[in-house]
Amino acid sequence: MPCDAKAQTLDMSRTNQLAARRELYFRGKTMKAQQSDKSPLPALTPIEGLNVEEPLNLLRPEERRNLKRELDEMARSRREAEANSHTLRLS
Amino acid sequence: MSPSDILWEQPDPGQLLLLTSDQDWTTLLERYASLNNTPLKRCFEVARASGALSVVIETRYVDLDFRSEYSAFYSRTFESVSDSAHRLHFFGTQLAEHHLWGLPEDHRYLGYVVVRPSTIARVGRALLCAPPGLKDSVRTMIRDAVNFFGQSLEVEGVPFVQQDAQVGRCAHAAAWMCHYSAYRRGDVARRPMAEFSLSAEPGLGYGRPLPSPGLTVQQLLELLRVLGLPPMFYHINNLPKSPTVPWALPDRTDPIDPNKKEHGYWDTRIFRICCRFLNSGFPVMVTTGDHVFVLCGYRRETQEGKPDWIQFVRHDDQRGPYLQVGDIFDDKNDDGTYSYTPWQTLIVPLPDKLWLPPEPVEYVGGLFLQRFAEQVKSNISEAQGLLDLIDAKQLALRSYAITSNAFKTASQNRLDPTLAREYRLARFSRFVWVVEAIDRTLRRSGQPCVVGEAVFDATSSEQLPNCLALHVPGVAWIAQTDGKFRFPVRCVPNPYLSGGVGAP
Repeated sequence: MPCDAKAQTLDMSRTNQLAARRELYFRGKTMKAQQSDKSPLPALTPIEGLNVEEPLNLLRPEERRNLKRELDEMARSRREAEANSHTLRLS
Repeated sequence: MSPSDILWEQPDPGQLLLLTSDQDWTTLLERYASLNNTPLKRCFEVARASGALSVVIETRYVDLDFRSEYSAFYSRTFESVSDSAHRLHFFGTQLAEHHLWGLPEDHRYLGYVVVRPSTIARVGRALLCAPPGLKDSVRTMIRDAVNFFGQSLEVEGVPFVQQDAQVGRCAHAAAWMCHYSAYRRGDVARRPMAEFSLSAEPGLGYGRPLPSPGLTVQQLLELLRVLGLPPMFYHINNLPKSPTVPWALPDRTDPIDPNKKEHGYWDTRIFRICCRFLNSGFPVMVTTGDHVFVLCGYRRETQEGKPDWIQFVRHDDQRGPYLQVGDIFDDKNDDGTYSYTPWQTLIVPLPDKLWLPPEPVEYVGGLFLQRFAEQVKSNISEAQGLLDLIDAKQLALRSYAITSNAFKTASQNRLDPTLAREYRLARFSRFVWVVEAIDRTLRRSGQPCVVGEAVFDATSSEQLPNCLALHVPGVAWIAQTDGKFRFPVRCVPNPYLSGGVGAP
């Protein structure tokens, strides 16, 4: 093959590679554009006037105070039991 | 054959015995006589009750647990002790010798018992199916893989071991049973028996580590922590208050007998505390004055006109596997020679990241379910069903811990598909606590009886448990990690099966 023809063939293959790359790039871009940033979770139909945001807010103020006291007491009794010294031997 | 005549390596590779008469069982028991043969006898009773008709004795069995005991202790005694054991495989079919390398399809494998070459205590690692009458009560079953002369077998049951009274005592045996269960659940790595003695902190106990005189409660707690199962601890005389949701039955506050003031004689909170962990598949260790055993299940006994009664099932290393506990307030062994009452402490070895204790969860879960139903009932009338159950004093709470993956996996078969989809796509912590709202009437009649649930993050604080989801008949609310929430998730209001282990 003459030198010129060889160079032309190389040029052509380079051009083809570039074209292929460009095509891949644009295909990827198109695919990305088709992807959605939206969550796949289906939309829920709201009920007018009904909203629940945080379960703690469901409690009445007095219940919330009681809740704190009860939970503190449970935690305290647990700590007391753990701190209680045990010298039993299990054999 | 006397115990000292046992050839631990012969015949090579094993021996098949048929177990068709009382005499066959007696001969087998006499062959392995020891100072305390009660646990081995009970193992044989369990195998026989499950229908065992053949036993294959695998000789020269190199057992990891016995080898560890051998290495730590028996290899150093003046007396010669075999370094290998026997493993007894039980089958519910009559095998022939040619079956050893090619079992028939209907072999009915019932489990195994490793027999130690020690005349003090024979039962090493054992895993037998629960006997038919107790199968539904046992809740901490694990699946064990067994290689039987090149054939892969599986057995489901609760692991058991007897203390050898040299390297280990009851505390080591109980800790091993819980730890082997956790190993098979995939929560921890396998640890051989001797490690339970060698890892105990000597500074927290008395006497010499070997031969072991037993462990103190502090040693046991520390041992479980070191072995990857930091335990939840309850002193029976100082149990946490039960949830005071309006419909809960009040706790008994006085002793039944004024002369027996210790709570182990009368405090009914013990039932609730143990059941929450057994519902989760976690064994519970119970200590008495000088002994410890493992609870592995319970059965609810309904009594006309009275509150339900709970009958526990235990593994006691000194008496054997799958033993029924009659009355915990008057708890004696079969012949009445040993009294377990009063129970002193409860120790529950748990996976590391199950930080949240169940009592605050059940309390908060109950309150949230009630208030949630009240909030939505005007728009979603089915939610009123839960409030009606509360008014009729027919609502019970059932709590259990579970990995969120297992919860999501099982949701498809239990729940309305819409709710199952929401749970599966939700982000939950690795472990969750679930508080189920149970219809007592449906439960008594054996029908699906769960009418709602609250799901909690097991890594949240006991002073403010983090609610991940709420579900009452007809609707659910699910938290998202960005502070938003999914609401209203409308779903079918029908009762469904419990997600905890065993019948609710």
